[in-house]
Amino acid sequence: MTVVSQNPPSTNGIAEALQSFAGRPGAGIFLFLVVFLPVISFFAPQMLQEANLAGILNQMVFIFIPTLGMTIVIISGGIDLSVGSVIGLSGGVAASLLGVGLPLPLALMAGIAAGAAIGFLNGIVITRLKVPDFVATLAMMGVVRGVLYVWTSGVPFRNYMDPAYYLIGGLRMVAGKLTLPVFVALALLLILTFVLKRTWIGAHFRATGSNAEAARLSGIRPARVKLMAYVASGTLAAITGVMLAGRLTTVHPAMGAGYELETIAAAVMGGAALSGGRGSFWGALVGALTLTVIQNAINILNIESTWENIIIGGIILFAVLIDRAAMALSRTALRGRPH
Amino acid sequence: MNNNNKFHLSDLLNVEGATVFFALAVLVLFSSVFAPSFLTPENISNVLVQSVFVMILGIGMTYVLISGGIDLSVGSAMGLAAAVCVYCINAGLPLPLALLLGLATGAAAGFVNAYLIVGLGFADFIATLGTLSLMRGIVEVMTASTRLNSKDPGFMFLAGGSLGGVPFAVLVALVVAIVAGVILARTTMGRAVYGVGLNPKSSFLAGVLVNRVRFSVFVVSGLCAGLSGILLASRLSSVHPAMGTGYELTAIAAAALGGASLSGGRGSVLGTALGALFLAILQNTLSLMSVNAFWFQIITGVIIVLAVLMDGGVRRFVAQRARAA
Repeated sequence: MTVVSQNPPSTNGIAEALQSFAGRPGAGIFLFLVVFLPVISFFAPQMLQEANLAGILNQMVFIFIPTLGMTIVIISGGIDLSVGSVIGLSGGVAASLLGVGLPLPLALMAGIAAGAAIGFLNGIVITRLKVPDFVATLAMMGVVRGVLYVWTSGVPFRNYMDPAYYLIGGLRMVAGKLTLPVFVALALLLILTFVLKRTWIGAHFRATGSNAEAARLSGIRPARVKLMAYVASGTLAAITGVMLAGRLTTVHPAMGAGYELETIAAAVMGGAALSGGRGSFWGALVGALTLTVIQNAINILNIESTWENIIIGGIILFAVLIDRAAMALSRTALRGRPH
Repeated sequence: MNNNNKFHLSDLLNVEGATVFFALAVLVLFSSVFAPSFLTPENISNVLVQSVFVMILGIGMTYVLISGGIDLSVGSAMGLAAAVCVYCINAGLPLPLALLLGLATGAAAGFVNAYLIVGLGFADFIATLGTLSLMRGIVEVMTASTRLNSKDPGFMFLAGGSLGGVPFAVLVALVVAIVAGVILARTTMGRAVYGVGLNPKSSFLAGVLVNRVRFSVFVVSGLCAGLSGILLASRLSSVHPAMGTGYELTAIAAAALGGASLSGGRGSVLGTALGALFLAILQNTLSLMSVNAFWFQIITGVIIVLAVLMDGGVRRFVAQRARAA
């Protein structure tokens, strides 16, 4: 137990602030990004142009929002492999309801509700039926994807767009060169950060993820907390899905496939620990941003897309290494501080 | 096991892989009745060969799962090993050498994973995710620059030929299953894998070289992925860039059906082999019954959950009976 002294010895405030910053989730990646961008822009000055930067932000949203949900699930000790399929199905629900004439707001809400329902189902199977979350969400991923394929009969949904949907999908700019999804993402980020940091919900998520048994003994209901986490993940994936359906203007049965791995990578790059209890939304932002920036750089530098996978894989490993190194450095540096 | 020596039918359920065995029996019964031409020799041979790829992959995955880890990169490792093997064949190398190099590629992939996870301390999920992308990228680059198909008769024999009426690929899978199963169930090495998965700290204190076990299972997984990839390339007589994509999830499903738990400490080679067989027969039955191919994913997903539930339920049931006895 340390005793808080009346007059803490004066220390170099900036160095200490930097060291404690380095320990925060996602800080290492953030520093990587800060270094990476100027270096790349040396080779490709177009990267730093306003249009390109805005394009990066507009693009990043579609990875970022599901990553928010994935971060919540990972913090509470689980994993959700079904987000890609939920993105596809929710987009499909919205698109097909629009196609039969339902007003846009209702169609969007129905799509989002579908995602929430799938999240709820995931949560029930995991908490009541005690199926391990990996298996349950893996199965759900297949089931939901299969449902979308059967429903579409393999043929993409088309011809459902209307002017407002162009706006929502991000095909029309709203402020400067930014599109509506960016503001949706911003709003979600602020709301969720507030909930996670300032309310009991956030504390319960972290407690359940660190040690579910201890949480239960403290009066938290881990089952209920995990259920909420999966509903959140499904809902956020669905929000992405309905926006994506607007952006792509068709819903292909394979829409959203592969998103689960990207969101997990972004969440982990942002500091979420797969063992639970750790994670941050700002970190998720950094992770999603990094992935998008790299893809953008690959495009601009005209690197063959076949190299893209190699580079992304290498970057993920490299980025996680840096993040852990930054954390370790921060811990050892702060450990020596007198109290 | 019950304490008195009387044999109860429920004792059978305690055998590893029992639930998947019964599920398989039910499926085969169902298919024989409802699926036209299921029981023909050509179809049975076809299904058996079809199950080999996931089976061998799954057996390697079982080692990793039992030790408490996971390997998501095996699909890409399949593609990479196949690409290297076919490349060597086309370059004129003798077939045995090409096969060896392909297998070595798989093992090398396993080494890289193992080093990242055990040596550098990465979480296995993230490390194998990274290598998944890396290897997939290498395969894409390779297939973009050279044509990777081969009609070499020796190579084609691997997945196409038979010995004494039994498809060669099935014999290979059988050998792999027997060797892997015996090692896992009957040797100290095998028990060490279970120990590491159930309780690494206790195993360490008991003298098990925990890190070495964790290292080896990834190499085993990579090796199996290499073998499976080579066989698949032989069946398709070519390597295409997306080859092996998604196989890792099917392998995990096969292992889970066979009783492997994702938190480690449970599972068996027999169970996984039966699980792979189950999935292959299921797909075969659905296509013979002209069910819309898209339904396969839905049904597989539901079945996986049911299988895991059943397995958990059966274990609880057996444990209760043991307590009551």
